Amino acid sequence: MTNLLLVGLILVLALAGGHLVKVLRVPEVVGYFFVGLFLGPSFSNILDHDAVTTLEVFSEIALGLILFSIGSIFEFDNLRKVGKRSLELTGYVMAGTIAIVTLALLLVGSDWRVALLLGTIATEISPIATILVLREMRSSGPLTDSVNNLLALNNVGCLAVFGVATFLVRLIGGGDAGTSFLSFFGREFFLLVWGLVGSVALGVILGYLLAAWGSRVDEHGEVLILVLGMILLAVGASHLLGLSSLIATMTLGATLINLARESRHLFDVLGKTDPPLYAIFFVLAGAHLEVESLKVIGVAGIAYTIARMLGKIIGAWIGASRLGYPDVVRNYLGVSLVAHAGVAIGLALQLKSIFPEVADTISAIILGSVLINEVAGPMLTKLAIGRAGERHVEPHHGAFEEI
Amino acid sequence: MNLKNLAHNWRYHLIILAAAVLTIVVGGYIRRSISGNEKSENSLLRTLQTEVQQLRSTLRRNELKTIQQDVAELAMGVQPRVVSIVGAKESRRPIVTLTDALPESRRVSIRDERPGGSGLLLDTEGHILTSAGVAEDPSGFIVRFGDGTERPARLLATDPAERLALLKLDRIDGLPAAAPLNAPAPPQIGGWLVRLGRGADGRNSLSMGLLTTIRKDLSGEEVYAIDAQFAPELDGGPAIDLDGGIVGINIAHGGGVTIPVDRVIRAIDRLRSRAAKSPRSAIGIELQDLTGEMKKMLSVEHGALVTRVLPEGPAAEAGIEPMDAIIFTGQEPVNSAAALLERIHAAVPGSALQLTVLRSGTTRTIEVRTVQQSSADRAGRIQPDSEFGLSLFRQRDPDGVRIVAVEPASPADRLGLRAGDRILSVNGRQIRGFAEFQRASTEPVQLWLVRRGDQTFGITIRQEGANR
Repeated sequence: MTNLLLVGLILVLALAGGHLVKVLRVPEVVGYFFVGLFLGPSFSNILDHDAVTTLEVFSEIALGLILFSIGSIFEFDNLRKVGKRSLELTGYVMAGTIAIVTLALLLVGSDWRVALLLGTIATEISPIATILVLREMRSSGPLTDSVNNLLALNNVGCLAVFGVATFLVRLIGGGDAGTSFLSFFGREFFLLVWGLVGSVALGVILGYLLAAWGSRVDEHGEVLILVLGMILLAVGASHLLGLSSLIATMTLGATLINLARESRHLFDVLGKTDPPLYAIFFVLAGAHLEVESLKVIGVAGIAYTIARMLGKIIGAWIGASRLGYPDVVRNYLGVSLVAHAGVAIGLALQLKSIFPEVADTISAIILGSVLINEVAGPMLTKLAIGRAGERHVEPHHGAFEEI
Repeated sequence: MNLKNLAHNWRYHLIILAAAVLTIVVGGYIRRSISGNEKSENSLLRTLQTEVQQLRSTLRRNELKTIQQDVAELAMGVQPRVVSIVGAKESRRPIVTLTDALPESRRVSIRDERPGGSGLLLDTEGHILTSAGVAEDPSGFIVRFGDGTERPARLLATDPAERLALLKLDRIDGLPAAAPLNAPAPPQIGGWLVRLGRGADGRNSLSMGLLTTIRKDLSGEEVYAIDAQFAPELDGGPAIDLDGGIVGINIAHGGGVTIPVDRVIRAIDRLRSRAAKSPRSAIGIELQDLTGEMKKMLSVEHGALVTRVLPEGPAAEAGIEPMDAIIFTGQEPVNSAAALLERIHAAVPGSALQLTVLRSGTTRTIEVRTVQQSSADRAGRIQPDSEFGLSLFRQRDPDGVRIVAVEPASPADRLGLRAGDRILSVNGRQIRGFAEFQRASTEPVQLWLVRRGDQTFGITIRQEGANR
């Protein structure tokens, strides 16, 4: 089957799947995901491993777009208002997640390295799944704002704690044979800092370019070309330089919003163009996973999945209470943050080259858990937003109603 | 800190941008120098090495598989000609149990098959070449082919110098094809050779190795030493090269060597001529088994009755007469007429035989010097009549003449005669044996009385010529 045929099939089936699950009041993204599972190796194998690898570029673009828009949260005005509190809230949620997941895994008898690394991977929250649910519901309110802010900060924080955790594990577990401790330490430390600082710097540079150029472009089509081009530049350059494309694209968005207040329309342009990419993203995410992985998830995997959910809820509860957030945030923030996705898988895969001895265990747990959370996460987010009363669209609003 | 104010200062933008560019340039450079290259190249190299290794082991495995298949195919070309040879001596051995000796009826006949060895079918006449060590059993051999068929065989000749022996199969129908041996290019030292054999159970057996060296044996002739395991089954089997040509015959003697094929070919010629010339002795008598009644009358337990003494034969000269009963040769009791004949034939021509003869109640020992049997005699007592298609038992017989064989589609066959029938009378004249039949059956039209089993019937024979 040719790739274009596949893309067409993905888009059409994704739409059908999205509509189908809407009837069940389930977020569209879950429908996309199920379509992916169906097309993937678990069932029909129309999207085999090769096809998924080839089409992966669409997922990269989708992820770049969503993080670019998340970056707009880092507007200075917004930061000044909520920056410190958001940062602290993020800290609570992350700390709660790391602590509870690591502890739970240690309790079920996992290796300490596996427990610690999984604890940090657990902090990951799928920005794209969560944001798309918020968009689908056109929600607004204190909970929505908190989720948005938290996603942006969590995104950086997650990569940072994961980097630190791998660094620590390697440090305690001993470096590679034949390298002195100092050079090993120096190299690891550099890579950790480079991954964060370099990504930000890349985003800043491209952000300046985009802002300078964008102020001279008004026409809708040209704006789209420019923004998409810059985002892809950010993603591609990150790969080339060994940086985080997530942080780079997010910084790109943040830099732009702060340099050019009038650039809001650039973000709006994207919001009208990107849904097909997100559909492809979720279908591919589904095709990536195999239902078989649930069979090997094991006790540790179940412990991980439950502990992660509890960690988010408890961390958010304590944080929101202490920082004086409204009750809706305290009650529903943690539940909104359960979505878990591709980035977590990416982190788990990174471990393969670093800790081959534990990577397989971690991969198995993450793959199974992501499969559960990719379905449960968006549904819980939708439930939480609905309970919080921040939905601004009727649940059955959509194509079916309009026909 | 008022970020808004800062943002309006162009130096602020310049510093941020410069810092970012500097970070990327310096960081990218450091990363490249400390890890990027080394890491990616290392992992790439490692992947490449693993792949190369996997490829190599796959190739090696494939190569071995090819060799295995080639050897199997190679062996298949010669294997059907390779036979297993075991001594045919039958021994009655009781089954030994812990409790009791078994009653006679429960004893079973066990063919006492000694390990034996292998042989090579030389031609479609049923000649089989083997090692002299395999052909030691004088009682005959059982030859087993790869298709599971068994045929009895007897020893024709042995060449003790070459340690080779020639056997001949008793039945030669349905033999596998066998081309005569010819000498291929002599194998090079270091060349691969395959030894073939057949186990007593009929299974193929082979070993493979290098031609290690070519040695001289005690007789000063060349033998091949092959670095291939020697098993008892391989004794007497051929060794082939990678072209499938037979390069020699394996001999267990001397630690398992291989006699080169050119030597083998010469030895076969010698063995064949020796077998052809192998002299048989005769003393000029015709014999018959003693019936139970005769034994009672003569009060002997064993022996053979002399029915005819050829005039001027050694027996006649020594004074043996018809109706003598020969009961011993030397110290050996005579159990049957056939056994006595066999013993006479086996004696070296010119040697003396001590025959103990019972005549009118007294025994005497008569010494008879044997003579070489003439080729006419050797044709045997059974002669087929090519025209009429009857083979008759050439013996004196009070009960007519026995038909030994009937040639298919011959006049005799068309008349309905069968092997085992007895011709009792010709034109009313009673027949007592072959000689009388010959004399009686000279007339052009004859009426034969023939007995088959319990029934007797008559047939008419018309002859064109004077002699049937």
